[in-house]
Amino acid sequence: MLRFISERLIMLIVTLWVVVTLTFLLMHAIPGDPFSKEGKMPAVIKENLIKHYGLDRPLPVQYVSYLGNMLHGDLGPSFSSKTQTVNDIIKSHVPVSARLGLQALFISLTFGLSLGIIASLKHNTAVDYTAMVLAVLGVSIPNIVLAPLLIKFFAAELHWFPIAMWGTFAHTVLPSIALGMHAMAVIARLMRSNMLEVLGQDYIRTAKSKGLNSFQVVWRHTIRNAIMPVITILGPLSAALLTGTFVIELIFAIPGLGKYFVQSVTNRDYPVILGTTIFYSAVLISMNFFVDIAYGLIDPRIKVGLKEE
Amino acid sequence: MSEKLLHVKDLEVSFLTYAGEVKALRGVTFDVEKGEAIAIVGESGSGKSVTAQSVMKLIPTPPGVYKNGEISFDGQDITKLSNKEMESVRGSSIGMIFQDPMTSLNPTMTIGRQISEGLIKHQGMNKAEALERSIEMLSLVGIPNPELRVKQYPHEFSGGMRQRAMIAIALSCNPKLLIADEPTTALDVTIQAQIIDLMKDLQTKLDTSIILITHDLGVVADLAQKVVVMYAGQIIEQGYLDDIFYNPQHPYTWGLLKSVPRLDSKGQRLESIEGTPPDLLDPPKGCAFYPRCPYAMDVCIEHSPEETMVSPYHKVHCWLQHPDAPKDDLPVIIGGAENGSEK
Repeated sequence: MLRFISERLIMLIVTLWVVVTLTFLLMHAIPGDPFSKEGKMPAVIKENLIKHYGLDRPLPVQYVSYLGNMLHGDLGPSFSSKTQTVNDIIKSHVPVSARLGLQALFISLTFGLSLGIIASLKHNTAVDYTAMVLAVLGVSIPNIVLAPLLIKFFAAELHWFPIAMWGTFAHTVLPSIALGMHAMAVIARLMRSNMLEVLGQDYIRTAKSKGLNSFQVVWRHTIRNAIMPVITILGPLSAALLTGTFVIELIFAIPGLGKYFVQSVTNRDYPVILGTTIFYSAVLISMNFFVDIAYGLIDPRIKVGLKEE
Repeated sequence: MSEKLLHVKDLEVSFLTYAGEVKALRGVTFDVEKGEAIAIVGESGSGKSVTAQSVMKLIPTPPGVYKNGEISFDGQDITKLSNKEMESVRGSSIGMIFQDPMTSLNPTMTIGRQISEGLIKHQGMNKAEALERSIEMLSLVGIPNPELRVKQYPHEFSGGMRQRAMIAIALSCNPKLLIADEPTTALDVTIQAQIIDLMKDLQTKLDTSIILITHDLGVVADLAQKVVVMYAGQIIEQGYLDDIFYNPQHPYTWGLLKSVPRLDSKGQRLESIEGTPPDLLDPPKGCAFYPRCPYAMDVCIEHSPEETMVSPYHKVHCWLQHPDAPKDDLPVIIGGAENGSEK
C-alpha cells in the first residue's frame, strides 16, 4: 500500500511537470503578449515592463526560472492585476470554488444515487420513467439555461434565495443546484443501469435463495457492486465541480477561480494561466488517485499495491 | 414408504411475454419423500429449472404467473405463502445451489460472510457464532484450511471450491430439502465427480432430501433414487432409477438413454433425438413429443395421453401403453446395460 502511494505520488509529480511544460510552450505559442491589450502604451514603457518581468530572456531561461520558483511554491506575479500574486489569487478564490463544488457534489451524489437506485428497483414503472425523464433533462439542459431559470423562479419570483453574489449559505443554494444538476443526472443514469445489471446477476438469486429480504439483498449485495462505475467517474466529475465552472460563477457573480482561469488566457497573463492550470491538474490527478484507493477498499478483486504474501 | 416432504400437484406456471403466454409448466405432479434424492431430467427448455425455482418461489412475478396447482412442503402450501413468509422458508428449510459457481457468489463479500448471512437470519446467531459455524461448514464440504478460507473472497477460490462453498451456504441451516440446479454443468469432469460424491455423502450424513436437476444421466445414476423425465413443461415418465434405466416406457426416455455416449460403443454414431421441442407459446394439443416420436400414431396428434401406472411408482404418459396400441414393433429393452438391438 505504501509503495503504491509513493509510486502514485511520483507519477503525480511527473504528470504535473508534463502539464507545466506543455502549457508553458503552448501559451507562448499564442500570438500577442500580456501588454498588448492595455491600449496605446509608449514603446519604452512596454519595453521596461517586459524587461521587469523577464520576458525578454530566451524561453528556455524563462522556463527554468519558472520551474525553480514553482518548486519554492512561488507561482509568480499576475500581470493584469498588479497588486496580486498568483498565489494570492488561488488562495483567496479557491475556497469559494471549493465550497460551491463540495455542495454541488453532495447534491449530485445524494440525489443522483437515490434517484438511480429507486428507478432501478421500480424498473419499468411510472417512478422509473419520471426519474429518467428528470435525468435526461438534467443531462441535456446546459447550465447557462438552467441557472437563469432557477434565478427567475426561486429568487426573482418566490424570493426564497438571493439572486446572486456570495456571502451567506442562502447565496450558495441556487448555484450549487445549478452546478450539481448535470452531475446528478449523469450519476442517476449510471447508477440505474448498473443496478439493473447487478440485479440480474446470479449472486442476487443466491442471496434471495438464502431467504434475505429485499432490503438486505439490495443493500448488501446490489449497491456495493453497482457503485463501482460511479466511483470511476467521480474522480474527474468532482475535480470539475470543485474547481468551479466559469459559467455558474459568472451568472451568479461568484468570486471563484473560474473567472481568473478564463480571463488569464485572453489577457496572456502567463503566470496566472500556468498557476491555475497547475492547480486544476493537481486537483484532477489527486481525485483520480483517491478513486484508485477507493476501488481497492470496495472491490477486493482489485489489489492495490504489493501482493501481501 | 416414508413421509412425503414435498408434494407438487398439477403445477402450472406461465410467463407473460410480449409474444404471448409461454406455458413453461403444464401440469407437473411429483413427490419427494424424506431423505430421498430425486432427479429431474430433460433437455433445455423442458421446464426443469422453472420447476425448481417454483418450489423456492424464486420465479419473478411478473412476468411469471402461478396459474394452477399446489406445492405443499412439509404440510404448508407454498403457493399461498406471502413473500415475507417465504423468506423464512428459503435458506432455512430449503437450500438451493446453482449451475454456475463462478457467478453465483457475490464477488465483493467474503465467503464467510456469505455463509453467515443465512445463519444470522434463520438461526439467530451473532456474527462470531455464524463465522464459527461457517468454518465448520467449509470443512464439512471438504475445503482445506477453512479458518483461512472463510476470510477470502470468491475470486480466490477455484470453480470446484466455489461450488463446495455454494453447497456450504445451501446446507448451512440444515435444510430439509436441497435443490441442486445443474450443479455440475459448469465444472470439469473430475470436479463433477467430486461434487456429486460430496452431495451423496452429505445426503446420508445430514438426511437431506435432494432435487437434482440435470441433463447428465450419468450424474442421475450416481445420486438419485427416483427419476422424473420432463418434456415441454410436462412430466412424461417418472419412476425409480431402475424403472427408468432398465424398463423405460416412453419413446422420449428411450431417446435420452440412447443418446448417452457409451464406453463400449466404439466407432458408432452417437444417437440423437431428431427435431426440436415444441414452442411453448402454442403447445400442441396432443402429445408434445408427437412430431419427434418414431412410434407416433394418429391418436397422438389430437389427444394428450393419460397417465399409465406401470408399477406403483412408475408412471408414464404415452399412448403406446394403451391396450389397443401395437406392441410388436417396440424395441424390447433400451438403455441399461445393453443396447436394445443386442438382446
